[in-house]
Amino acid sequence: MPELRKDPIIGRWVIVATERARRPGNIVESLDQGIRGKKEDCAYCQEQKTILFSKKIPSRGKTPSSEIRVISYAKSFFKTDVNVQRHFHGLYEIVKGFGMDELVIETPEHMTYTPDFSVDHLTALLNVYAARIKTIVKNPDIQHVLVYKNYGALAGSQMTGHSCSRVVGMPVIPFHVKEKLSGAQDYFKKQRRCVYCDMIKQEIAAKTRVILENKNFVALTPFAARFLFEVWILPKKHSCDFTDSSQSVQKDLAAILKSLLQKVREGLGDPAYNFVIQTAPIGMREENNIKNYYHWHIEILPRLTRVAGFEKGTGFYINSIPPEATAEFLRGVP
Amino acid sequence: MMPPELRCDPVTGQWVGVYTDNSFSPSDYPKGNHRPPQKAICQFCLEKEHLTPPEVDAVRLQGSAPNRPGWQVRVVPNKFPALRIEGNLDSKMEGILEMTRGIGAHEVVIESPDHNKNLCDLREDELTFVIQKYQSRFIDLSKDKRFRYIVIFKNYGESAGASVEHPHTQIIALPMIPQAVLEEIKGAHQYYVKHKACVFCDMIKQEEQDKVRIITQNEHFIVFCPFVSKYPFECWIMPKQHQSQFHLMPEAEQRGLAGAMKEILLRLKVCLSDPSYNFYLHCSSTYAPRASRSFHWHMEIIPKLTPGSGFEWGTGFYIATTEPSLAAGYLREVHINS
Repeated sequence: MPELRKDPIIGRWVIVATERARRPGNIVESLDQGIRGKKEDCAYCQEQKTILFSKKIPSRGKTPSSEIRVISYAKSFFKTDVNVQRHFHGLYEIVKGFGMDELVIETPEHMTYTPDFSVDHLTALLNVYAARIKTIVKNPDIQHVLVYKNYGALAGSQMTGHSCSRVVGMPVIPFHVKEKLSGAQDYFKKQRRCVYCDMIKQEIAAKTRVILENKNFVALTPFAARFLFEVWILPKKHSCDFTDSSQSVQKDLAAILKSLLQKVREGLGDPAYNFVIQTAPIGMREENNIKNYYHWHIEILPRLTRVAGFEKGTGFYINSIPPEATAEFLRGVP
Repeated sequence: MMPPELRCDPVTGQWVGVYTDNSFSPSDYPKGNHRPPQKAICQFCLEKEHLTPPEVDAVRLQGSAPNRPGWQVRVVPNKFPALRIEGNLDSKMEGILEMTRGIGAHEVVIESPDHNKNLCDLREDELTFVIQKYQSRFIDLSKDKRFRYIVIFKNYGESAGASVEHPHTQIIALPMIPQAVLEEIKGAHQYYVKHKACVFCDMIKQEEQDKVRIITQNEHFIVFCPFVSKYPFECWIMPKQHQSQFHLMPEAEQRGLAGAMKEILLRLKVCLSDPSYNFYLHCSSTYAPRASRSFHWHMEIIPKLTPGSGFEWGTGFYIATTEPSLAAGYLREVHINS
């Protein structure tokens, strides 16, 4: 018998198939990741004209030291040189497409991917994200900053063969972020507690959906996952702001992120995935309570199935393997 | 140069990004081979009726027996249903986590006995039969007190999620209102409370004023690319007269819907080289009678042109790479033989 499960934060229901569940190991059909971009053609292997920010990657043994670079994303939807004018066209509100869209070149090495990085390298990358968020939010027209990564063609990657991520500052608060915020706020009003903290407590006690844990973080498959093998990484200590983390916390995050991305790659045959950092929007920071009710986290969304009309039309997702089984599978991947 | 725009959906409050100057034209989108994997035997074809679960409804020649040839449209339970029809919900809570048993209906409307005739290739009267079956199944399923919402949707082409090639639509009856629809129902209700008007009727009024986003219309239906499109070449079909529920659409209007659907599906096919697409109906819940004035059913058609990215999944912020009035222009201009 399949189950219907409700996301405890935003209230979204999903269908979880239980009885005819496919075995996790067999789920991945050979996904065409397309031809990887060649090094000779790679714009990110070359010298960059304008570097917005850079950070040294701690060297490993004999490898010469190198750096993570941040450049402005040339093909962005968002433009830095427009005014955020808000106006109405009949019943429609419009804001000009102002925003800051930065591309993080995670490594100088072509065809080296995030799970291959050392923990120190990944820590440096997380430091770069935090530094860029802190800089971008200084602009008063920016309401929210999103950090994300697309890996593989199915996840929307440009397939350059060069490991990159994006940091995007926007003049509005996007929809899913709003949903999470208002769900967490409603819960806080009723319970006077953070829903994510309660969820972490329950998940750690139940164990079935926990994949990995270290001192500061827990990685789990959410109870009402939208996607197969969806994973969330949450800080155990309550915090609404990703950029607040200390260096030792960042290092813990880097460690759990690396193990997880390796498990996903090895266990699922190098699937396309998206990686998103969900942190409290700057546009709501003046609202004091957000510190109490929101809890930053990372979502890793492997793209193993196609989203069809039902999901698009309703926001109701069908998950063909229970999250307990995907967690168990990922736990077992060395 | 015009900067890109962020546009706010007047119903849900969702912001979307819309390209303006650098809008993609139809030829800028990659053409994918979107045929689902071929099977040796198609269970939806004529004379293969015994391969499906017994039909629940059909349009048949007079005198023809159920589950035998002689049909034009067949409705059968899905062989691999996402939900089960028998049993009770048995809601329960485990700590903060809520769940129910997976109760619901999952049916398939086989649109034509002809494996190679898609919706846009059907004659208007044939398409009208399909619409009649959408309605009759909707009415029948909404009598089941366990269900709160009925979704009618189609996946055409592999990249839009189709796994069977034979033309078909799916119907799922759910024991709760899906969140995306609930937000639309709530948003429309709030608009109604504030303005004493249906937001969708106001949208039609504005479309008629602006004109640029209308692709086609007939006596009862208007087809347009919404000002706040989440996807490039997104098209909506909407009844011109206020109508909250699809299944209450008068018989006299079925033909008009068939005509509008056929025309827009043909235009999309020609304009975008037979793209994969999804469509679905948004109706108010059978359990939200108060929504009868504020909600207005419509069909959304979404061609699958871009893969989607982490940005969209993580934020719910969609970017339409073709500006809707330009998309409507391309769709109006293509030549179709209808």
